[in-house]
Amino acid sequence: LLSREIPHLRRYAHALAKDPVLADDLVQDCLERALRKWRLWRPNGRVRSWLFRMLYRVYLNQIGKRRRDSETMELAEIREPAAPTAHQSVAVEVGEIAAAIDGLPDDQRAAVLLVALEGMNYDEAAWILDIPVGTLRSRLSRGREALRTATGALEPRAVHLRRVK
Amino acid sequence: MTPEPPRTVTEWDIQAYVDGQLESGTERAAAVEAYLAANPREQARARAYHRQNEAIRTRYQDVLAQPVPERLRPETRRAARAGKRIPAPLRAAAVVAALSCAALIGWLVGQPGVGPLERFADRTTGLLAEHGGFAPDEEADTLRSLAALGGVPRFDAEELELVSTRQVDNGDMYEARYLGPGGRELRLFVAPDPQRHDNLLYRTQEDGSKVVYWMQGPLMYALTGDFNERDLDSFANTAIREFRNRLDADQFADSGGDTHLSSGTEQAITAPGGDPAIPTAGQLQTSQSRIEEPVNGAPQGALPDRLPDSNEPEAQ
Repeated sequence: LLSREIPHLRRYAHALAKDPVLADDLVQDCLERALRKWRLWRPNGRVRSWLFRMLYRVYLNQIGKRRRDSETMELAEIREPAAPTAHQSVAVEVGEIAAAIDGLPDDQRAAVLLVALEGMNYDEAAWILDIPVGTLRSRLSRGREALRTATGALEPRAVHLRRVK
Repeated sequence: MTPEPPRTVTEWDIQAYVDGQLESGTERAAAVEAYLAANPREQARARAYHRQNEAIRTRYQDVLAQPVPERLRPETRRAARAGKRIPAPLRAAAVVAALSCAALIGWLVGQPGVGPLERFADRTTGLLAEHGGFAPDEEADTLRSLAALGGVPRFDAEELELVSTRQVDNGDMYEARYLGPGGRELRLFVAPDPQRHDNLLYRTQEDGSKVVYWMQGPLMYALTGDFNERDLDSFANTAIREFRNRLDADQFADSGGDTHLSSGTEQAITAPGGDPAIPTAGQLQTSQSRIEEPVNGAPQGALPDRLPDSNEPEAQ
């Protein structure tokens, strides 16, 4: 089971960390923690969820550590969303979306990647990120709309829970 | 009979539809499809979201196809763990000592293995990297919930001021944040439902951050922050003493002011190296040998990939 999940863990780590070496470090830390804490895993739980949750915690710890270590690093963490480009067709290129996702805030990016990339259902993704399902849905909605705006697919549109019919 | 009016289609329905989380052929999925068909702008938006999902999967598909690096293979990780083992004779002695400790701990707590306190500690260490996220509009509710559980301790003598509270871990835990001189932060985590009582302070750490945790009454507590172990022990004793005093006051009120302290409430809890000024009547036990063990002491060679799988996410 563990072996089967490693490629997926790596993929999510690569998307989160945006650096292949750092991503594999995250996965290695996650696996070591899993081997150390396997007793905390419950037989009625999914190994995949448990591992992804652990990976995400390792990632958060590393971000926190980097921020504590260096003020300049904290400044470097602040990313401006990608600016909308002019004269784009509705058909948005993969590369543009891929670039735009790096500009999303960390919490939205983590949510969008779990659902869009790893195909997690909402309950599972919320558990991994340790947030309520409603919060997950809000992050997905805001993240997607930010991507759509950043890639210039359509005009910016307010995103909030609303009745549309 | 008047037919039931159709449910409205919400933003969340559209998101779920895009993500394939609405079962095809269901009434909800049909409602979303009908709505999108009637609203070209919304349909274009849903298509844009579909393309986003495809683009994200396309971007990272090569990572999935890559061979797993040697250093990440389970056999490599297990070998690395095995390499850290101590020599066989010492290992045998350690096994004997560990078994003795396990027997002693089992006798002390009446429940060997991983208990709620260890899970609580693990959840707490997982939250250490999270800062912020305190919602002022939820603080009143959180404080009311905490008050119902017995309130949060005050650290006036330590010049620490309670500045915020919040619910964490999907509402299963609470966090209170205190600030002291120089902006030093103390974080208190509280969760209900311990199933045993042992009058011990435990310690663990995560990425260099010290955590002291314990159980008392119906609650489990953990303290961490910009302080050393000795300070955290001292704060823990303050919290323990406060809770004990509140418990005593409640019992006194319940009995019409004519009750004696139970044996449990007479016990003070202290940690090794604790402040000698703190009263320590009753049981006094240290937890040095148990630090880390309940949380991080997985047996060598244990393989999570042999554990069974199921369709349910792990319960909290």
